[in-house]
Amino acid sequence: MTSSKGTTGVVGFIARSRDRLLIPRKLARWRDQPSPAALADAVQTLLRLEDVDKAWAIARQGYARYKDDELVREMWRIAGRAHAEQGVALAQDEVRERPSANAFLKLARFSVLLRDVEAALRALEECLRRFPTSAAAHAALAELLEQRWLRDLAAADGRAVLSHLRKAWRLDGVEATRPLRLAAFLARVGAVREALAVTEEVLHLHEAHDDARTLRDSLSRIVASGVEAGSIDPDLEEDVESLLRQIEESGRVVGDPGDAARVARESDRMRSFLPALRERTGCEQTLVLEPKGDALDDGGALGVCPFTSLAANLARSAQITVRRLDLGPLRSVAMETTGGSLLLQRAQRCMVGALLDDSAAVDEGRAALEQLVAGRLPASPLAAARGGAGRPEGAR
Amino acid sequence: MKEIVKRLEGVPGVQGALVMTLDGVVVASVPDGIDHSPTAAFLSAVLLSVEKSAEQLGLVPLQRLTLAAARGRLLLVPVGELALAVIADGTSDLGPAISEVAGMTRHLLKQSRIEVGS
Repeated sequence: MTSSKGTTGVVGFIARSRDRLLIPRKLARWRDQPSPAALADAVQTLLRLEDVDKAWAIARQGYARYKDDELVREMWRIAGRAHAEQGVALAQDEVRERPSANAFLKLARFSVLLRDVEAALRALEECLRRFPTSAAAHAALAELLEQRWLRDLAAADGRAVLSHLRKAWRLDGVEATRPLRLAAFLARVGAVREALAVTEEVLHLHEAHDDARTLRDSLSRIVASGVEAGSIDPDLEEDVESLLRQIEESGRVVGDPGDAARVARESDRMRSFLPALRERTGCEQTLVLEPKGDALDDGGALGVCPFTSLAANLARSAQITVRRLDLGPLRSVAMETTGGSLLLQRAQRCMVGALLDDSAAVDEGRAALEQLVAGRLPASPLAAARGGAGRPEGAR
Repeated sequence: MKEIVKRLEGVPGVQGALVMTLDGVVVASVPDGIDHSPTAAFLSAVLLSVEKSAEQLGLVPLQRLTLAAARGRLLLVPVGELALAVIADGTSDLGPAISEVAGMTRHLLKQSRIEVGS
């Protein structure tokens, strides 16, 4: 063991020495005769030499020049990951040795780059525990929570987004982007008049702010048309809490024009995994439930039948039950019976369901559904094109 | 019945439990001081709403219903003409505790039926 380690050490030393000798030539090659191969060679050598900053700088240059080249994109991803990992390590040292709000923000930012959102949330929460007056930390936490809210639509996350954005605004009234984000979020949940009031307040301080003016004009039009159509009662106060609860319960953001497209994308993606789910679990019936209650499988829309009725009823009841019990967003439902089991798994805003004949296969079914949601089952092309004429009419 | 449900109170991960009739009346519950009636009534409504489709699909009799959420779980286990509902965290293994309580409830129900019959 010792001799093997020693050999590796010697080999590593020789390789590094060689890299050190060759790197000036490789960098010159990238500078004078740039090509994807020259870039990959330089970036790989710099990473072996642990010069992560330089590797990341070169990888970004290469990405700007050869964005469509697969090798260059791969180098950009590898160097970016190494850069973020180094950033996390340095920020962790800084947090330990010289804790400051800025150090926590760096840690959160690099964690997000590594797609570790939970670590980023933890860093920001700890930051606010130690530095509760950091407006930047409140704003950053609101941003992450808003992304999670868009995924789960949990009322608790929505409340937290509003609270952090309001605190960030109070703590730093000069920065206009935070109240504008607050206004945009309020508008998204349906509190358009409150959003308009926030925008007006921003314009008192920043009269010439273009984004604030555009948002004010757009919100004014929405409010005016809502009052005219009778959907907005100007004498009634908007109940943001109730709006957030309605969104959580219905699983969709009614006034958000991007919502339908987002749900369609999620649904299509989940449906493409259904053949693999059936093969893996041996079940014959699977479906994807959209927030409005539409049931589809990989062949298109499913009509009303006991399976779709049961799945839709159960999903809706479960959603309401966990909300009433304050258990947070619903993740899964398992109805186990002697005659078989119905499993439902939350997949972003939709739910994926499988009807298992064998009641003993529940654990396997659960594992397969979790893998499906994580995108770890093989996808297949959808049999039917989505929407309009592509969807089969009525029941199949 | 209260004594039986109380057995679940000390089980790690359990936040609350109740035994209810299938039409939503609370028979016994823990912890004390919390009104479990709305939960029982709602769970009864849930069972009713899915009953017909479940029967058509041959999904009977119900053995267990599990709702898993971000901050915990709800487990519903029918016990004869009653149902045991347990609210718990998302990780603890409650299988043995639930089986024990369900078994004791079943036993109690059987005994009371024998006593009424004799």
